[in-house]
Amino acid sequence: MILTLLFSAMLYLLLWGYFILQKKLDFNSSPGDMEVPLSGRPARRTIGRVNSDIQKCMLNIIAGYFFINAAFIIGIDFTATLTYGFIVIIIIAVLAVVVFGMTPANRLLHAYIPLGQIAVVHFVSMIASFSIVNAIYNDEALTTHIIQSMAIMCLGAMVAFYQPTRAIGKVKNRENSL
Amino acid sequence: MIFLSPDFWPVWAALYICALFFCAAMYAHLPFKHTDIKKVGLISLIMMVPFTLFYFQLLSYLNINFETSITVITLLFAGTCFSLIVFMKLLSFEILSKFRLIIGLSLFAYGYYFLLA
Repeated sequence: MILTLLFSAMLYLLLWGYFILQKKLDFNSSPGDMEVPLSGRPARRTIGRVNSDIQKCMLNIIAGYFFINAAFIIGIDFTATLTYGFIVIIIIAVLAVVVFGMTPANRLLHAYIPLGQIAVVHFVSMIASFSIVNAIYNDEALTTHIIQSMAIMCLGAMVAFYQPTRAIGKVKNRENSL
Repeated sequence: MIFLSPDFWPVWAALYICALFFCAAMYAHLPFKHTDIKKVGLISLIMMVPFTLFYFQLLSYLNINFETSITVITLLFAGTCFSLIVFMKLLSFEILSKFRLIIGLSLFAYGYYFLLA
């Protein structure tokens, strides 16, 4: 059980490393510095704001998935005792609230990172939160086989959409000469 | 594993339909940057109704009739959603590093197969 919780937490924390490697998150520069000019992003923001926006969105997404997974895991337990329609209505209500709250986070994240990487964040958050909720509620630890397949899938997803940030050369040079 | 059997195609079809609704709710609004966020949120919210109806039915059907663990079904669903995004990216001809994409997708497909085998 502890191994499951640790593995899930590590999997989720890997996202920070993933974005630091791509220089989407920058903890080395001063938070007050302006970000480098990037293609497709005319408005420039301070590095501190970029970091806090991306982190806030990632936390919002995993919090949402905690509720989604909890609704399904707890809901499936009550299929024998409660009527199907009643459970479905409760799950729809939970999911509706969560998704309504997740939409601004998705949009804000899309200002900084492309769709492929948002899908990676969702994928990792979904499986990490599911493992934690399942371990806590059902007391069910992940098997080695599932841990291995989860790790390989996450690694593959991260590699597939790995895209380091590239500054616009011309604008950068012009700024340096000024 | 039963999932690799060709007779199991209706379950795969149901999984893809669920993933389609889920991805539509999560990502379809992203290109519409100038649309009001509340309107977009309401459309996403409405998309969750058919998703829950399909997915919960599938989850309980597989869990009760085939004793498939919820972990496996959730992992399959997460993988299906991700594969839909990959299809979408490939169809939109967005420039991605082909080498990284091939390596990453091979790893992902291997992990997915490893889960099922």
